[in-house]
Amino acid sequence: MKQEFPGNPRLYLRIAVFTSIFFGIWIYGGTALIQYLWNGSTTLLDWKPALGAVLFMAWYARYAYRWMMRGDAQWGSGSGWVLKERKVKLPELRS
Amino acid sequence: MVCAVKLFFHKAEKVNIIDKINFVKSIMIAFLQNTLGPYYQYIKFIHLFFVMIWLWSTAVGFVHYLLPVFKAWRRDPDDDDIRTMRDWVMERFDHGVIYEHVAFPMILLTGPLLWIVGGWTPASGWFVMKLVIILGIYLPIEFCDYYLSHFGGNKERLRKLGDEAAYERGVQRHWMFFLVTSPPIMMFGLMVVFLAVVKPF
Repeated sequence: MKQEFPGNPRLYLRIAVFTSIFFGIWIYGGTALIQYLWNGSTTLLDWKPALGAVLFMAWYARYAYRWMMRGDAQWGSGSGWVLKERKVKLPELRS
Repeated sequence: MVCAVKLFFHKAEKVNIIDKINFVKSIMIAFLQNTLGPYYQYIKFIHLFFVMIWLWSTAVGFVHYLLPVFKAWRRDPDDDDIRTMRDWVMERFDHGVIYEHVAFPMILLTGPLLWIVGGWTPASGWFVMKLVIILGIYLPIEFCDYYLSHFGGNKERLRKLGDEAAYERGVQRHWMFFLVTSPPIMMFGLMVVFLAVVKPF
């Protein structure tokens, strides 16, 4: 039964941006908040860690988008591979 | 049952329940620290051993089997031979991921032991960040992965049910899951190990 796979570049871009924002807020914000509540530490609330978090989020969004596009063969021609027709027997576990 | 116990203590001894629970918790933590303290390095060895399995057991199968076959399928989705190969590698991967899924509970067991026995607190920033990553990112991913690989989403089970549409949906859903979760798994897996080893802040 042939069903169309829903993956497409627009979806991957949205996922990359959304997950990047979520991970940035969750990891940086969560860590800073816990440290602040636990022992009043404001080390992570300095501009350098915050800038680092923002830069990381931007980099991660790009990295994730590019990975999904390549992984789903949206980019690349597959010219490094050749499909060879073979007659095979595929082992399966007995039930 | 728990409510009955609490009520018993409250009525019989008129003791503050919260103080009682904290006291019991302190006793338990002290017991673990005293008993397991000399074995911290052994617990750490077990923890790291299973972390290595969890991180790397699926790498070869995913990169060298799943990825090339699924890419070939995406380039030519109507080719039945490619779909047959795709389905076979997917079912093999469902089975092979057992190593990772046995390792993960062991990590969840030994991790808190290291936390308690080692006396780590949220004052250690590396520790907090690591916990935030594990609880907020890896736990939800692994829950989904358990379902897709072994329970309702297991492809061999779907195939034996004879519902081709459900099988195809299952394969495609799992592939989408891999595409979306592979970047964070790779990135934050590296980060977790870096935080634990280097302890940068």
